[in-house]
Amino acid sequence: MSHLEIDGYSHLASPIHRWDPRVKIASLLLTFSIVLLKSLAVALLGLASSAAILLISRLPFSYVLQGIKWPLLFLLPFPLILPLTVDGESFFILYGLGFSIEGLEQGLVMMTRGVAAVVLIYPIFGSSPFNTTVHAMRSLGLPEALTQIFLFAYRYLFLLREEFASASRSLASRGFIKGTDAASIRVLGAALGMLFIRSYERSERIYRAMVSKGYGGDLPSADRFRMEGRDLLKALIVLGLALGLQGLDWMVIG
Amino acid sequence: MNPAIEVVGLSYRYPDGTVALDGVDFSIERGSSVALLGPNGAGKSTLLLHLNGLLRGEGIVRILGREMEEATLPWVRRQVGLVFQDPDDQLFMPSLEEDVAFGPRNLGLSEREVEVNVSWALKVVGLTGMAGRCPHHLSFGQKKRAALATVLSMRPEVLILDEPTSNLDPRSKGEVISLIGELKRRGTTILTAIHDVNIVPAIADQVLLLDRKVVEFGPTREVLVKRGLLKGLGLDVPAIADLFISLKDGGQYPGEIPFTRDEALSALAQIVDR
Repeated sequence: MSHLEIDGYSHLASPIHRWDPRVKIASLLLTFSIVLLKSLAVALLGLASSAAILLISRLPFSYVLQGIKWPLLFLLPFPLILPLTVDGESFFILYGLGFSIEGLEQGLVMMTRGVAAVVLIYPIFGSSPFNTTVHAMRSLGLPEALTQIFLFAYRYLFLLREEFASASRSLASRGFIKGTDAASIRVLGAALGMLFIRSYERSERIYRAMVSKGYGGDLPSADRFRMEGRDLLKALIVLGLALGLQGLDWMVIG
Repeated sequence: MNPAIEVVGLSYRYPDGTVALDGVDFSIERGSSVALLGPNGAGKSTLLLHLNGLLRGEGIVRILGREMEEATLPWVRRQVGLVFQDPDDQLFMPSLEEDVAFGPRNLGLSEREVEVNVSWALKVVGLTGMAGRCPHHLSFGQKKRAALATVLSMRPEVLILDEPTSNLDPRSKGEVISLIGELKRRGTTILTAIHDVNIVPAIADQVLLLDRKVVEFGPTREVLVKRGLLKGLGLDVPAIADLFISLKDGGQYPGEIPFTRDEALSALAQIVDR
């Protein structure tokens, strides 16, 4: 399954899937709480909480692991670089370069809370169809224009990817090999430019199709959200977790 | 005379100066099915956009007797369903159900009515059970039928189809042809822009030949035997008819020009009997 399809497993059944999407989005509060943590031990607890919520959501770990590999590539350098740049007691010296414990700890904290936050995104956004999530965001006050941009971007992302793949195949069939030289970049630029022009033309045709069916600026939808006691209970648990992590962090760090 | 579509002196020029339509006049009776034929650049798609009020040129367009103007546009769009050539242009919502419900909701129908219309439209096009699917995951043939459902759910009196069978395999093509036949039997007025002349006898009672202006408009069986006229416009004559026109010209066949396989078989029997 492509990682453009964040809602590829929204059909599964789990307590997270059954959660009212509006409250589910509000639980982003836990993500904010995790990224604000300062203690490594509490950050690891935050990561464990994220993993637990992921486990409850029944989303396949392999799917999530595949998705977090890119953020992980971005986060991995922190525990490698910060020990060299943050002052403190050295635990290792290489050719005169000291690796500080404080730097390592800070790097690990940054990596842990980053991974925890990314892992948590999957149960929140991957357990409801994307359009449901966006409609829920609208009902929470997301402006109409942004709602429509999100919906249409998600709908046409795949088409754009197919068109780019088709353009790449067309280039390859005529002997083009991607490289880093100026000629390659010029060809890729031209292909991308053509893709943008085609996208622009398509957007005009889509707009016409919408107008022909009575579109006047607002996207009609049947909001069928129904909040029940158990939705609020789940929200309270997550809120308690978010506040608990902050409290623990305050006790540890001071 | 009870016209569904009346076009009088319609002209349209694109912003770059290209003349797309030049004094187009025609009238289509309610309940009839008309094929719109013409070479590339003849103005077919431009004409179709005028019938839904998406383009406004000089001249008069009347739908079911009401003249198209700014005030009547919402009414016109309720009466005229326009199905675009590329279904990906028409299926813009994240799920098929939302796409099919888009028009009815814009019309202000109640949720109950929307549900009824959506399930009816999906049933007509044979996509019941796929309501929750993302349009992107449908096959091209399914997308074509889904695009038709998005318009049918508005229950239009007039249906405008732009190349409904293009890029379809024979089976999907057959499904679309029988769908058009079914809608015609229900009394819908249908105007279909099409390039495949072999399909025209199966879907249309009349043919409108367009080349920026109306070149010919008449019964299908009269227009599609005018080989010189069609070839002059760069169009084909249906394969079966083309063969029998040659036989007729050569004096081997004196009868009516056949258009279907069964008609051709009985015409061949006549030739053998002679």
